[in-house]
Amino acid sequence: MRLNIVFRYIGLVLLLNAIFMLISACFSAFAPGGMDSGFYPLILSTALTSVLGAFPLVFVRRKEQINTKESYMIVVGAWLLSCFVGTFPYLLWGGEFGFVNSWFESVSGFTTTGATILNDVEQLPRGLLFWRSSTHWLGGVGVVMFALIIVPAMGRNKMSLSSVELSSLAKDNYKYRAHKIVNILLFVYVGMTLCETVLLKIAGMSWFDAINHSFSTIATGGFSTKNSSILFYDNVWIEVILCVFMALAGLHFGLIFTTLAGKTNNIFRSEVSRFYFITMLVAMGIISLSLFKDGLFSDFLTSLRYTVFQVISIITTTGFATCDANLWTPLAIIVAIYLMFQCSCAGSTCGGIKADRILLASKVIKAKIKSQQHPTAVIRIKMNGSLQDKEVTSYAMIFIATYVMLTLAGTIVCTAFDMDLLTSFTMSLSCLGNIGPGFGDIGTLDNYGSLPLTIRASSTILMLLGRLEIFGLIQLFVIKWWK
Amino acid sequence: MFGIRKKITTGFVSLAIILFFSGVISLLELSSLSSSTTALLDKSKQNMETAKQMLDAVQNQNTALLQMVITGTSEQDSVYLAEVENFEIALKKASLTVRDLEALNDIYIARESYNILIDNNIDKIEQTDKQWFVNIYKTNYYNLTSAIKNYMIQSQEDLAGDAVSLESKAHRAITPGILALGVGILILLMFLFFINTYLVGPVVAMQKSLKAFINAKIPFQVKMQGQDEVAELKENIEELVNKCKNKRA
Repeated sequence: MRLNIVFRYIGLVLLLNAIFMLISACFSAFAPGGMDSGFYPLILSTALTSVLGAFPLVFVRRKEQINTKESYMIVVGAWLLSCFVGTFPYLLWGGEFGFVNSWFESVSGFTTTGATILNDVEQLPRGLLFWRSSTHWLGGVGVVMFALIIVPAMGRNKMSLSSVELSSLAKDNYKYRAHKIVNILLFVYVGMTLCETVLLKIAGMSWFDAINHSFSTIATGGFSTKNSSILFYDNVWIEVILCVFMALAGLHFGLIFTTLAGKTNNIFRSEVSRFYFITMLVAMGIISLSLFKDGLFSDFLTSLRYTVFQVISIITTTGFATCDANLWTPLAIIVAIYLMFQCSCAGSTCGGIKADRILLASKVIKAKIKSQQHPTAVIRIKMNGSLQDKEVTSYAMIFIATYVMLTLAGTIVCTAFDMDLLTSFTMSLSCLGNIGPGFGDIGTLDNYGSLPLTIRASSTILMLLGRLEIFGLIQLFVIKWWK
Repeated sequence: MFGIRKKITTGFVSLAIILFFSGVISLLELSSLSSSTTALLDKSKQNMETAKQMLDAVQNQNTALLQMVITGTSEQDSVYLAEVENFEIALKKASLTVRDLEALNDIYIARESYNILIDNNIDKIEQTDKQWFVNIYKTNYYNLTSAIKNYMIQSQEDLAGDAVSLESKAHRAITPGILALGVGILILLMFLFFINTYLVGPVVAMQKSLKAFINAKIPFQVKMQGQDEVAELKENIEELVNKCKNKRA
């Protein structure tokens, strides 16, 4: 492995981070009441990150082809170092941010988890609020994918990085040449962010809040500029806009592009998209009826309003809140926990197992039952009309098994620190799926600030594992793989 | 592509920039911390002084009045009036420096009732009996002195709140240095790696290959990354080796 090449690409990613830090510093410099306390921390962070990012560019040649191992290393390294430099503004600002809290907030931002340790988000200066949202936006599209756009040496490099960044299922679905993937992502991602910002402004948010919430929504993150998240606005139109964009962000970005471009391979024909929407609708129906029957809401429409928002927020791993889900019925909670496992489609910025793998797993189980009935029969498994080979199906099953095991491992660790079972289980699930809120002490309107320090630190490992499709991070610690 | 000189210079300049920036920020934060500490101490000192002046003035008024009651003369009248003036000066000073004017409210109220009591009795103070002094006057006097003491305690508590903000300033002064140190170590490690990869490694490889050629006629072959002076040196050595080969042939 050529570490010098790896350093160069990671350096480019850090420079991209530095640009966003500088923009955040501008927000602090031109804050309505004059320059706020976020300016100096952000400007110093920009300087430190720029020097760190620009340093390898001086030594390493511009045009270098990268192999698979190097691309893995670049993705994982870029993510870890982005999280590291992402702590600088928080650490320098102080307040509630010690090292563990800063690391938690940064990892939560870049992995688009959206969990926070802050008890009072609104006391943060504007620059830091924008930086939090920026970490979502950068993390959402994949820090590496963005860095590739600004790298002049494109060629084959793009594809090797994309294969790590996107889950293998998503990569298969794209059906485009490698260099188109980045353009599609950019088009859909930036376009959707702009549209949502304008619509939120029209619906009644300030420009600043609209930008921040758009960044959070499109990246399926969940950081808000308000302590009570979206509940603060209590505005139906804002909720409708956020629901639409959260649901869109949970779809395969390539399919959004093909649908907009009027191609035949679109959202409406995709088996996975249909499965994703059906799951969502069924969950909404069960939860809203259960909550209405329980008397939590006075009428069915109100129950439906809050349920629709919360279900979309959970299934897309965004984590915004308009109600306290801790008050839900056991049936509603268990349905929500299923959604936290499944989440949205591959090829989006969501975390979790993904609808594709759940659908594939159900087909594998169905095929297994059939093969037991007809031992000599040749049973083929198809998704979206195309045959799935054994490697893909077995990888999906292994992924699901590993996912469940990691969730249980996380739960065991949490309960060892005297946390209650519901909080422990949903915290592990929420962090691994990059969702944010859970149930119990980390409910939709709560934060992670009250959890033990060790738990806060260890939950960031789950966040990183989830974001890097579990095996992407594990490879880093296998020394043999390096050779 | 940069030459060796520029690469090495860039390495050291990067380290210098980081240290300089963090140094400047730490210095600014430290100087802000220092001025905040001085301001806090000044405020505390001023608060204590004004409270002491008020207490002294009230005590002196008390002594003068007591003497007048005991001796039955008005000799101490001028002393009493001077102390009243001293009290008013100290109170005015306190009202100019106090952050929350409400903290002085109790003093104003106690002073008002004290002044009314004295104004009504000052002309006939010589005839006043001791019971009046003990039962009526003393209560008003204690009200006023305890209002001053409460003001002093409350002001000190306010200042203790300011001291907490000093802690966060101290954190801000130290953190840039720690972060710069961390980044500096990372750059230093990268610098070491790059120097090894692009400078030391190739030179050692060339030396080994050249030695092998001289001793055992093994062809001079060195793989290089980069296009700087070291790469040129390798090409020149290759040319020299080829010339040597041709001469011998």
